[in-house]
Amino acid sequence: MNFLKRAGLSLWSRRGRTLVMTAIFLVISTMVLGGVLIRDATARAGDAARNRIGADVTMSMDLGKAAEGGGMLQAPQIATSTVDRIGDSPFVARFNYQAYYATGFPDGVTYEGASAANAEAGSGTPPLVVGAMDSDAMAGFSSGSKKLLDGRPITRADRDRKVVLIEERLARSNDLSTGDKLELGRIEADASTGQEKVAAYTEFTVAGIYRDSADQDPEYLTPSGNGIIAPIGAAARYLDGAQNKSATVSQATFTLDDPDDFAAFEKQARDEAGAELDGFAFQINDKAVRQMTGPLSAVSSSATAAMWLTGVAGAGVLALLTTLAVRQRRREFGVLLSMGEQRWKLVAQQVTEVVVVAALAVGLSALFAEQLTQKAAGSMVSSEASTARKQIDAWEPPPPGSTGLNEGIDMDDRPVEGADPIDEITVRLGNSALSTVAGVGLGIGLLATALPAASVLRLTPRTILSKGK
Amino acid sequence: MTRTTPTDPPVLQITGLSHSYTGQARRTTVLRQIDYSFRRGVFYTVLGPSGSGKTTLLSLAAGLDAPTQGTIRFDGEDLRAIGLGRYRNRHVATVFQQYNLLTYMSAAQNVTTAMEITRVKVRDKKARALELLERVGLDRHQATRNVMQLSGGQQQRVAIARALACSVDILFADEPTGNLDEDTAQDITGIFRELAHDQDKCVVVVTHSQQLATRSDVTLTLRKGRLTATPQRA
Repeated sequence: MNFLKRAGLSLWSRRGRTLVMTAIFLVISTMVLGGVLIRDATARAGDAARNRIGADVTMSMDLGKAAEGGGMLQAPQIATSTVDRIGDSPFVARFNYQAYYATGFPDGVTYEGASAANAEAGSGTPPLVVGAMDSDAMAGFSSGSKKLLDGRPITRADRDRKVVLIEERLARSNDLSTGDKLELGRIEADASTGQEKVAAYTEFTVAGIYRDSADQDPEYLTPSGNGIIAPIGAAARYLDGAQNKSATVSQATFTLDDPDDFAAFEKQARDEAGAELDGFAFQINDKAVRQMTGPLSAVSSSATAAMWLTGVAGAGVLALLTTLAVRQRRREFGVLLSMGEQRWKLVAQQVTEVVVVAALAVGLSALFAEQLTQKAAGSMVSSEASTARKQIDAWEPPPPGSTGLNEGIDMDDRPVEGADPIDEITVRLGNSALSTVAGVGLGIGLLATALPAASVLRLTPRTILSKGK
Repeated sequence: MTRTTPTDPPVLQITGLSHSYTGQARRTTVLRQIDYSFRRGVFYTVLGPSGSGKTTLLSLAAGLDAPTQGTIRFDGEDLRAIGLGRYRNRHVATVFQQYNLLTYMSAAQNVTTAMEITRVKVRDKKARALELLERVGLDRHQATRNVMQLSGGQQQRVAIARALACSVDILFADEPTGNLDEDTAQDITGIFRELAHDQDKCVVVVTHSQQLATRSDVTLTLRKGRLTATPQRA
């Protein structure tokens, strides 16, 4: 281990050079460590957000495939029992589906948009019942635009029970409260005239009363004050055109724990449902996660770029310095070789010197990199989050009744409520980050040493010693 | 101490040795078909004009380079079979004209490093290094100073002490007294003689100094790549 002693003596006697090399290594390792820590912290925060929010996967008609077939577009239907089986996948945190059923009220029930003329002609806006699996999982309730004022929500257990939630305006105008009965009619087309009329009424119990702050139903644009929500099984059985029909839906939403599981989930769903899913497509919407993690992605990209830039530039500078140092030491190599020292020990001495300097620098950078990076990353994330927040706040919906096309507003840009951009991250220095930086430092050092050393050591001692004489 | 006689087997035998360098446009032959046998207990000097190939001969004999043609045998074994690195490590030591010391070490550290590399079995290497340095005229204070703080003559003494420290059979020296004053040169020559005559080493010194040559046992002259030997004493 004579080369270790020589390495120590060399480092100590050339203290100035050792100090300069340590300083350069320190800058590089701090920058690289900072980059690694920011990348780790943003990845952790992103994972946490993904796990908390998940990602919505919508299963609906495959429009592309339907268009290829030509003819009328007709949404395919799938049995809710099949959707339930798909929704029971371990990838799914929660799922939901709903279907709309036209209904009719018996005489005496008042509702928005109702008039004697409409009722007689069978035209106008018929009241709609939303058949739901779980009212809490409906978009309105989760976003807060719908709020349960009294009673209880509709759950999966209510599937075939004749219960309903009604909007408070409908309840008020008909003096209904929780526990009261409400008759809903099944609409059928008259065989001779083709006109739709109520074929039969079924009595439902009001399980709860809710408030809808929106003006209209987002899909059918019916007045929200007429809102009725019923368990989908009961709605299909008692309100659908064909009596006693089992519930089917044309669309379902699944919330995945991790957006990365999307492909695996779709495969599992298709295996589970087989031909029943023909005509359906799965589309992931991780907008909420993207909205939350947007600032993190920007910071992570900058940190990664800075890390690579510093790493490569630093490696270049170090390689240059080490190459010069090795060239300056060629006479030393020649002398040692003339004494019969083994070549690998000369390389080992060089490597030891670089490793000692790298270890010193990485050790020093580990002392303060965490605090330094936390400060820098915190400020970067906060600034990015503030910019993202401003963009979200600046978005304005189109005026009521407009699709936004005329105003140049893309509804897909609509911000997701309750998904604020993440504005802080926690930097944690772990063994893995330290190992990465130590590995990078060692790699740079070895490469910078081995190449010039090899170029000198392939020569004979005489050639080395006589060069430049 | 027993002196070697001409009938003893040679420690180093050179046969048909030629060496050339390939320059940018032409090939220069420096040594031509040299045959010679070096023996233990003899102090040799190699004389010759500049460019005659003295240093090349020394380099090849010391295993610092491989000859273009011919063989060199140490105790009857071809250097190629021994391996040049092993040969340098176990059997020879070289003193260079440019000293070639390890500049980040003290004089004593230079000597102990050589002992470590050549695996000299000494219990207290530092004490042995100080003893050797004292023998070549460096006191303890000078021995512990960085070699770059020593004069040229002192550095040459350190280089010689380093060579002495390696317990080897042959000592080669390239112009060892070229940078030394008269008195020191005399001292160093005395050490070489002592090594050959008292310790039965083979000492080969390349020099321009006729004075040094007169104190050697055998003077070899290199001229136009050919070697001739002149015994100084019977």
